[in-house]
Amino acid sequence: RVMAEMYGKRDGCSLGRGGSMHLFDADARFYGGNAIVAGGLPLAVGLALADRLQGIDRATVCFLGDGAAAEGAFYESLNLAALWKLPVLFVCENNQYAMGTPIAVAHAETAIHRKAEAIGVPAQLVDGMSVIRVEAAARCALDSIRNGEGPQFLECDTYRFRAHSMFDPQLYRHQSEVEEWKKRDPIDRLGKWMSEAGLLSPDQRQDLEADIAQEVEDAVNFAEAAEWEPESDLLEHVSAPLPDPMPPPPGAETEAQDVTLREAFRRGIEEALEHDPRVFIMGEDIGHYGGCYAVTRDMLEQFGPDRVRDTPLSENAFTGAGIGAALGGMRPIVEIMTVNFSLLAMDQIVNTAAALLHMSGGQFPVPLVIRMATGAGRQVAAQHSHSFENWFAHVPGLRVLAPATPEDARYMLWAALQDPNPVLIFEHVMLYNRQGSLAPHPEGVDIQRAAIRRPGQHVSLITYGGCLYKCLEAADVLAKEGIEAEVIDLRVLRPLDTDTLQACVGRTGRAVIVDEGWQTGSLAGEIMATLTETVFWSLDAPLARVCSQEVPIPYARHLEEAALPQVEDIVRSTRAIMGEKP
Amino acid sequence: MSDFTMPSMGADMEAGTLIEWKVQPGERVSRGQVIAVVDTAKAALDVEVFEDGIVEELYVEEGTAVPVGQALARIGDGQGKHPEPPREKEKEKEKEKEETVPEPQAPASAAKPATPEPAPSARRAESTTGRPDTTAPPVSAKSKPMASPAARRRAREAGVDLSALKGSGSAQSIVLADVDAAIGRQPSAKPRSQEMRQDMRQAIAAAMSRAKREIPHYYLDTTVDLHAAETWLADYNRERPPESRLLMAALFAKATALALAKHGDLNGHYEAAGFQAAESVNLGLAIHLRGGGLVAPAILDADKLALPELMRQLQDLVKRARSSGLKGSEMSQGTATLTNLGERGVDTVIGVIHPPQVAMIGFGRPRRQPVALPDGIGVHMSVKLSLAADHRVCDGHSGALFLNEIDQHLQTPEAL
Repeated sequence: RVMAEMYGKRDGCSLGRGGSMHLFDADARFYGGNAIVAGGLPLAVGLALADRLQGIDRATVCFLGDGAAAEGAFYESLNLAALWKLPVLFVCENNQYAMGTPIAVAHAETAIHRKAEAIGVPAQLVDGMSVIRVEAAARCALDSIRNGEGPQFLECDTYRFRAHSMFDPQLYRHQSEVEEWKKRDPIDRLGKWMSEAGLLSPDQRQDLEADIAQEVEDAVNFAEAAEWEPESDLLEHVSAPLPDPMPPPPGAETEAQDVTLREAFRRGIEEALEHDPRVFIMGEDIGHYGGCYAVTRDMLEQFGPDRVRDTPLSENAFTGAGIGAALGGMRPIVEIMTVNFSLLAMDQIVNTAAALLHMSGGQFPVPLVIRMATGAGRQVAAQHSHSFENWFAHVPGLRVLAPATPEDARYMLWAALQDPNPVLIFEHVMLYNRQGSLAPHPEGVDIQRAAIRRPGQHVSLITYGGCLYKCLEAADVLAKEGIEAEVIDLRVLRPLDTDTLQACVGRTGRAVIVDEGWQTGSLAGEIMATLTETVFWSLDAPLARVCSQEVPIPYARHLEEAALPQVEDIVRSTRAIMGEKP
Repeated sequence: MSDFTMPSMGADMEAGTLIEWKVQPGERVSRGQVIAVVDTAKAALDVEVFEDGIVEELYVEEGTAVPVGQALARIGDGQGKHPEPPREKEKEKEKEKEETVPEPQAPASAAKPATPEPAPSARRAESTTGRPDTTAPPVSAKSKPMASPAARRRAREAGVDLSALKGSGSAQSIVLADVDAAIGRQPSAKPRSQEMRQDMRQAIAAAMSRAKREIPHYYLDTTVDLHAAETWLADYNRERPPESRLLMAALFAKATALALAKHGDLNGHYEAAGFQAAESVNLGLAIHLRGGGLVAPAILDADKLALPELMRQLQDLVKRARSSGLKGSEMSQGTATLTNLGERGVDTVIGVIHPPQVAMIGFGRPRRQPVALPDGIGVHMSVKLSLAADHRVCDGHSGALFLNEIDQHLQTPEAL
């Protein structure tokens, strides 16, 4: 099946969707190759964390190259593993080249194991050309891991005889160097050692080699005879289906009450921790500090440090660890302090979480929920205030939610945790303090449809998140002028509920899209394009959008306000497309 | 030999759809013969040929929409074959058209291309705050009206010419509401007959808007004693079978036509070049159509027709108007229009002039009124007679004389 995968066939271990770089096998608990160098390390940390939290006595082995030791994820992941004393064996196959770059060109300290030691992971250097020595060292390390002594690191000095890939002309090394290493060929050495030890006769060896040749031959024949995945199935395995029906939230409020959105978010998290033992939450400053926006205050005392887990400032690694833990059977909630910091975890979210199910041919869904604060308005300037929802909404395999009402803040999390796919929840910072009536919703909320928050027949104001209330306010202003604006809360930014958008704008014939993101390449632009494609002949005015000014969000309040969409901008843009009368 | 062109059958007509050819190539035709049926926004009209000859070629297939003035067929002596397509003989064609299309109104205004949009004022693509101005009008061909997709779709469905509409949307674009207002309906697919009525509504809207936009109306009215007319009519009808009897409407029409013949400044057309009095009196009659709509075909030379003939034509006109059987010349050649809303139960009509005409004469409901007579008080039939006239052409003085003239004629019905 590995051979068939190389051929890109349906019988390949990843249905031909992964290729040689993305071989997966759920049965063997093989979580795949990761073509993002060091991208697999956080996953290993997460898998080991899941085992630890579930009390499973198991070790995770993670293979990496010397090149990976130059990546930030290497340091972040080893730190997490050492910090949490997780059962991970890191095996570094130091083959002297990161693709074509010699180790001395890439590393000041070329002894990779010393880097591991410096971080706090006990490490050994072994002759990677000796099967016996590697086996012995690994056994030793695994014993120590099983004793609960935390992670271990093996640096195996080795070599790659063949080219890095079929595109590699090997200009970076001399053939003589290859020949020199070939003298230490581990297979030859093992054979020789076994013969000398009387474990393998020449006949046995011949038979063994014939068997192996036959196996390869059979694999090639199997792969060549295998069928192609039909193109009609192209979109399979991008996202696993939602449960139907969705399990209702177990701790839903039965009476209406006034809450802040912060409180609503907090109750959602508490409910999940109380009712699903697989759920844990991790992130920066969520425990001892109580959460940067105080959403998780007092939860550490309530649920303990295992389930309310403070992390170091390692967004890439702890997000990846969330993915690993999800693969390992948990339902992690990862909190990223602000959307700006999520860019440090972008690799794990986009390259791994979103792609894993498809790359693995449907074997590995990633039931991970990532919460993050987004948006501006609190005078925290350019690196804490942006709105990058559209970047994530671009990525197939993700679900992107933007709760703006008390109900959505309260119940979207539970729904998201039922989704077998990665879900991103964007919480606008200006909504945390907003007070609102939380109506009883015993059935929870859906995470598939947009909602009409205000009916109106003249124009559709399409928005989400923090701009919802600005749109509602603008609609009130417009109503005084005789313009009845409908306000649509997208709620779900991916997959977009285009049916609702088409139905609404098809009816009103006019739309203003309000989006706190920058205009260029914005979600607003995407919605305009969709509307133009689908309801062009119903449009009675140019589509308009109100977005943030194209400037990093400034610190000074008046400048920040000038940069953001405001009620009067929405009113003005709406008036402009209305013409003389509704 | 000449080209038979799409005639203008109303000042607001820009194009018509050739519905049916009544002749085939090779057929001999004579002046006044109906050779085609053309669908205009108002109605399906019979179109007559204006010369004798032989149809040599039909240029246009049935079902084709054709702008006013474009050649439809070639009429010749049966020998001629155009060496080249008619389009390449534009100048000659234009010259011929002037000779062959006896339109009282110059085709200039009717066949004029779509009203060009006023050039959009130059606006900055982005406001000073950097936000793009979404209302900035797009660069578009001058002759093409800016209209929203929804308006375009509705207009296409309803057969409405967008260039005749005024936009109320952003940047003066034509929006759905403008098209709906023009066709006077709510959005929905409707059968053809209703659609035609909607087209008519739109045509009326265009003509009446033009009237109110361009014509400085003045209005006069007077009460006419119908005692003499009524008495005379009763006498006249007493001995006659129903089909030969006259109606008061015929008297009104004849009296009006005679007065128009005398008051040239109320009988004619006001075009780009100014007012031109007509040589004959083609009295337009506003005819209300069942199911809605209004047409105003004309009785040609109404002042010269004897009452029985006038009555016959009047009845024929109403019948044909209601069955879409009007001739193009009847539609376009009215020199003034009479409207009689008496049967609708109103006393006074304050008319809107049908451009390019300059007068609209209105009769209300004849009713019995107490009148002061030399020897006391009597009860006579009387009617409110009104005039809406074009102040660019004449003044109230002329209008008053004109109304008095009609009154006088109605006091001596035996002379009609």
